[in-house]
Amino acid sequence: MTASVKDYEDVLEGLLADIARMRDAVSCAVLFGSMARGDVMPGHSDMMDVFVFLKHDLFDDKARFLESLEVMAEACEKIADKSPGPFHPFFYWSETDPIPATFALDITVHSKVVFGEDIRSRLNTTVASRSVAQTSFFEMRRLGSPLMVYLHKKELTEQDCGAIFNLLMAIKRDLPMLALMVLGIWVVQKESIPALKEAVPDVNYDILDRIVAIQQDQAERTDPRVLQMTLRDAMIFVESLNDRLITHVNARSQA
Amino acid sequence: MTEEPVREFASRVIARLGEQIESITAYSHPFTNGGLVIVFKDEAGFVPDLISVVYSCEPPPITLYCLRSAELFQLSFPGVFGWPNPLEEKPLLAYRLKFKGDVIYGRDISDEVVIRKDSMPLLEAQVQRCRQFVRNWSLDQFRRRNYLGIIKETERQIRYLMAIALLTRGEWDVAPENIPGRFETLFEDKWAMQTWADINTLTQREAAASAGQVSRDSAKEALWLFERAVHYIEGHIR
Repeated sequence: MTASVKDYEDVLEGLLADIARMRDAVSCAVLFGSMARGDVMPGHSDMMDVFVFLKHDLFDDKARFLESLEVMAEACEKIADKSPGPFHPFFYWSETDPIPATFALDITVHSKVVFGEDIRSRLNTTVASRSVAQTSFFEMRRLGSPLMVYLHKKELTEQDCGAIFNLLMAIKRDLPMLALMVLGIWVVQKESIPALKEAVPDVNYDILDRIVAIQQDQAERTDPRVLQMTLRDAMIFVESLNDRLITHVNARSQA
Repeated sequence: MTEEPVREFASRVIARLGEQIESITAYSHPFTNGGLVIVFKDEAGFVPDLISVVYSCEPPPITLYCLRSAELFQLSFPGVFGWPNPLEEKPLLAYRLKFKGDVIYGRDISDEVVIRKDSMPLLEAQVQRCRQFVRNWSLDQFRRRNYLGIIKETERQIRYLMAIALLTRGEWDVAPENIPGRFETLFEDKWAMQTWADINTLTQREAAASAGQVSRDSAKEALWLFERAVHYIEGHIR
């Protein structure tokens, strides 16, 4: 069966019904990612990109905490069963704790309050968390290392093709924003590519358009040769960006 | 002492890429299988191709850092948040490499590995990281009925958080079994220690239970204790 945007909305409605069961435990629920931006790709967009902000006193009250945890665990199971795209659990957080800087802009700017009071203007990050965000480009590049075997693998399986496609999507979706963070430029994911082109103009960005084209073409998305060639071009892009960022970091540390 | 499978893997890498490699250093880590830092020569070529060869040499289950000399500063980073990294090696990595690294091939990089002057941000980042990981991960584990997994992971995460807290008191080389004792001595935090004792008791009790006997309530109890322990340890961030 083909997934639709309505399928995503239905699953979100289900989560909101469960959050309503938690009554006074929840301060606010914030939707971010493709559903909040209105650019869901049915079947491909993941879910559930939601931060559930719990009342801070819940973390001092064992009975209420355990009760809420049970509702959230049940809600998560329902989402996993019905998710029309790749699934990951939603997040829960104390309303008064600083949020991870890596996600801060997408939670506070390109987001939508779907339950409770709008507390987004009160959310903050810490220097330590921003420091983590500002090094994440290099960490993500490293975490992709095991997939470099696909550059030379002769026979790619369907699973290999899926892994390459997911890596290409992550490169297009996450790396521009993370690269900007290295440079101390904080923009939401959706605005990151034009901002990066402006900040680092001497890099060839054509590959990002190529990844979008593959994303929209079922035949190319599953063609091992196309994927392997695109992966090579994508890595040339990543390495060229990486070189410029290293120069920037080394210059900053010497200054 | 670097284990034989790691040395054999390093030999395979050297046989394929020796000309392009400047250095290989092995390290141990108290919470993981340790790993290798492979430093390529600056003129070695397209790094993803080199990394591809490294991974085709069938590495054992260890962590690999493949980089060039100009990138060694990355070894002192605080690490990333969340999946797919349940336990981020980075807070301890620079210490393990600089003071206990085992040079397997080429030059010694230990002088270039930088130890941060202030380790408090590492603790602050770890508090946020383990909250984000454990909360998110455990929701998924409930649907998998992996209750014992939740309990064991909360114990491991709190022990690791205590290890990172010890960095702020200048201690980086404490065996996992001695971490709670050192934390108790150096922090004198009776609430954190009482919570740790509860976590430890719960973990030992449930680990001894037969498979399928571990209850959902015990997993929820572990997550409550996790929240309390993180809260108390967080209180030592200045």
